[in-house]
Amino acid sequence: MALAKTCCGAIKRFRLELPNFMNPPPITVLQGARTYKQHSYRYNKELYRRRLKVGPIEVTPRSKQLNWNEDVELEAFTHRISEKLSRVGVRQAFTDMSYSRSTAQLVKEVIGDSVQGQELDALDTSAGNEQMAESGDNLARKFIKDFIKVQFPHLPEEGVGSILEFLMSTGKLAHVGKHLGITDLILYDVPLVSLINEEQGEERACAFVRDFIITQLIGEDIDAIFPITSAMTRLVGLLEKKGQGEPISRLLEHCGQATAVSCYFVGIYSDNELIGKAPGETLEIAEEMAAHDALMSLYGIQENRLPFDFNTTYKQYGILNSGTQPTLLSSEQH
Amino acid sequence: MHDRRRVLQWATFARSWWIFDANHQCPFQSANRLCLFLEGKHKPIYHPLSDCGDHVIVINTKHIAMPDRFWRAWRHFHHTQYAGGFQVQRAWQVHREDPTKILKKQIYSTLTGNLLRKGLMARLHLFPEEDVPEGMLRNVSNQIRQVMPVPKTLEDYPIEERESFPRVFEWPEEYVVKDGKEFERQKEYLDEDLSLSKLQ
Repeated sequence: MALAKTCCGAIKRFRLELPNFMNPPPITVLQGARTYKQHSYRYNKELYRRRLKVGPIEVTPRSKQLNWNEDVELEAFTHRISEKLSRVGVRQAFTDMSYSRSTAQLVKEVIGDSVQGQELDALDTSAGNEQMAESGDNLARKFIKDFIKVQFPHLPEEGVGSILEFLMSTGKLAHVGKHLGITDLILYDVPLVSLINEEQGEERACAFVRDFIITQLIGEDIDAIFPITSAMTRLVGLLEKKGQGEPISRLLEHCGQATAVSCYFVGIYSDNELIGKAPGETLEIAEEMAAHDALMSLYGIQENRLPFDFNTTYKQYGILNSGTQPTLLSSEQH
Repeated sequence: MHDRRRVLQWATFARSWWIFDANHQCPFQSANRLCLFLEGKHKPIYHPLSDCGDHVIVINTKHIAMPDRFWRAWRHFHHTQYAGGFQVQRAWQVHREDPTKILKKQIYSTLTGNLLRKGLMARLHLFPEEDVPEGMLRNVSNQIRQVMPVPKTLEDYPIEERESFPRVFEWPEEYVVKDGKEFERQKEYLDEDLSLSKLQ
């Protein structure tokens, strides 16, 4: 009944404008009706039944609809990301290998030799984005790795790898691409890094990665991306390596000891200094979690760390090419 | 939710156990303070609709101190809803029957009258003396500050200090203080109050 009521507006439009039925304009007014006409109940019900029979509205991408000017869209896209890129290059970056092959064949078959120039070259079989994707992926990975190493100097290699995989996962890149508005333009955004590298230089490419991909780390819990397992064993090993005293656990607080919902706070001490503290349902869990907390502060990924420094200029060529330990230089030095 | 988040959540919503010594404390002021802990108003996560209060153990309720003439003047009413079913009792009478009842009723009336009240009252554990069960005492993690300083009685001073305190005069050796005189005078007052209550 309620559904029939809500569909009423759409159905009326359907009756009047039959050709527009598959893509009806959005229903803007659904609430605010003071009365419900009971005499039109059977009529609405019939319309509702017909609507269900037709099935869901097919979603057509914007690029398949009318008034789609790809050149303008590509131009707008380059302005959106504030880069000066050639249109041919962008089109190539946005063209998947499989797509480029099939389209080029189709164009040749249909139009034959009458078409010439850049348009056809861009659609040539060699003009897919496979190579660009690969080199872009390499560059982005290298830069992200160095960036994380500068931000978290004490994080082990394993943790750096976890964060890198998190940022370069298909889901995350698809998310970034979607919000850069490339859904209708393509299909993948890593080739774009390679394109910027070629046309604007490595520094701009790294800035692109930093601004659009690494910023996805903001608000993320590093601990969830890089889950630390068997914390106590790790902590013992790490403290031994650093030459500090072995960890000693102490019960700091507790409440409801004799109840089913008890809570314990355990602190970890090394050389008479509190290096970690955490709650837990039992003493064992609290101790493990305290070791976890101590590890997080030793790795420099504790909750109350400073925010990421995106403003400082990195000596990117130094980082990327020399292969030495990445260093942070302030903007004045650079 | 990974482990660290889970234990933080656990610690946030863990119920603490508090202990409060009602020895020589005003039940009215004590009730105001205890209600904060029962309702969880001392927590940053407090919300009137969320059940985030703590447990409170109160000891020495038998030794509370009523202000002014309240032992005689403060009255507890009850009505059975039948004709002639009205009852009224003085505070001292209520206290003689159940030494935890005055504080309990005071806390009950201080708490907000909503559906949570019954649950909050279930987390209040009152004991007339200091004999709290061992299992319950193990849960306690903190104590609630008393609302007023406990006065020092004559017995608390050492005998030397009492003896050396300057006196206006001393009773002669053969003088006998009439025993029970003060008690009889008090009893007259009490009878008077009881007759008043019968009139109502």
